[in-house]
Amino acid sequence: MLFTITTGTLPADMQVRYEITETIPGGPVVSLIQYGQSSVDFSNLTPAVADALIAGGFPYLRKKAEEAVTPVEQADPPEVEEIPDAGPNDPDNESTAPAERVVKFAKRRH
Amino acid sequence: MCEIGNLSNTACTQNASGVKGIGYMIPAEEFASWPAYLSTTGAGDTVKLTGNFSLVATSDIGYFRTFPCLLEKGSYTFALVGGLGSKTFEEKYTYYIPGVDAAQLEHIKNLANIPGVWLCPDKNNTVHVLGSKDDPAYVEVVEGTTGAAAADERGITVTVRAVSARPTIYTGTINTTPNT
Repeated sequence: MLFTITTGTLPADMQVRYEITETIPGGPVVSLIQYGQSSVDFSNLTPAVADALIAGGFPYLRKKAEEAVTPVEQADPPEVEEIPDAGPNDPDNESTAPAERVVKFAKRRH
Repeated sequence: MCEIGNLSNTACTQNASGVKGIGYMIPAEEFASWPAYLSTTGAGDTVKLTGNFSLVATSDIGYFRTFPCLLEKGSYTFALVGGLGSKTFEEKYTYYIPGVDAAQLEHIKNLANIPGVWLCPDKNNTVHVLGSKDDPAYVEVVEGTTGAAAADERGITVTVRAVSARPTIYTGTINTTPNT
């Protein structure tokens, strides 16, 4: 079976940072001696070798652009709901304590 | 129409002589197809192959075999041969394999009559191609010796020869993994 080298051939942590721009037949071990590497195992590629290949002009490997960092969404301030004092004629009124403050967290709006 | 342009004088920051300490060969029958030359118009493009070699998918084959080449013992040479108006490129790759033990002798035995393609990387990072899928190169001369005196070398000199219409440079990957 003919093996091919794609981004999926790279180690998982390398797939996040680098990509193979065109499917390369063969491998995973190939020689790129014209780019200064007599033996490259793409399944165990390291950042140092990847950067050396890119610097040497190897056209099929590219560093992914840094993903824009998504700012953490700031939580909405808590919503304060005032509960009015119970009236003196209210049968459920068992105390004369001041009104309670119920704090509800507003639902996050998306 | 013949196309010949200016040859620019490049700043020779790198022009090392000699070949690297490793070479590559593959039987010609292990190519699935042969790439075309670049059709772009940059300097040198008409002698550069496009992309990567496409090799057969048969298990255990379809890869370039490597061999060592002793320092300052190898070279790539070419000459234009033939009569006036009929010039052809005759290319030769000479390399020196240290040792005349069973492994080296078996390698030479198996190499002796194979129509193949050899890749010769020079010290300037140019990979010269000798032979092609349908017009392969052959081993022309092999000379091995144990040496006689202590200062002699013990090894095998191999010379590969190809004849083609134009020289060829390869810029793609060299697969060194046999098919599974």
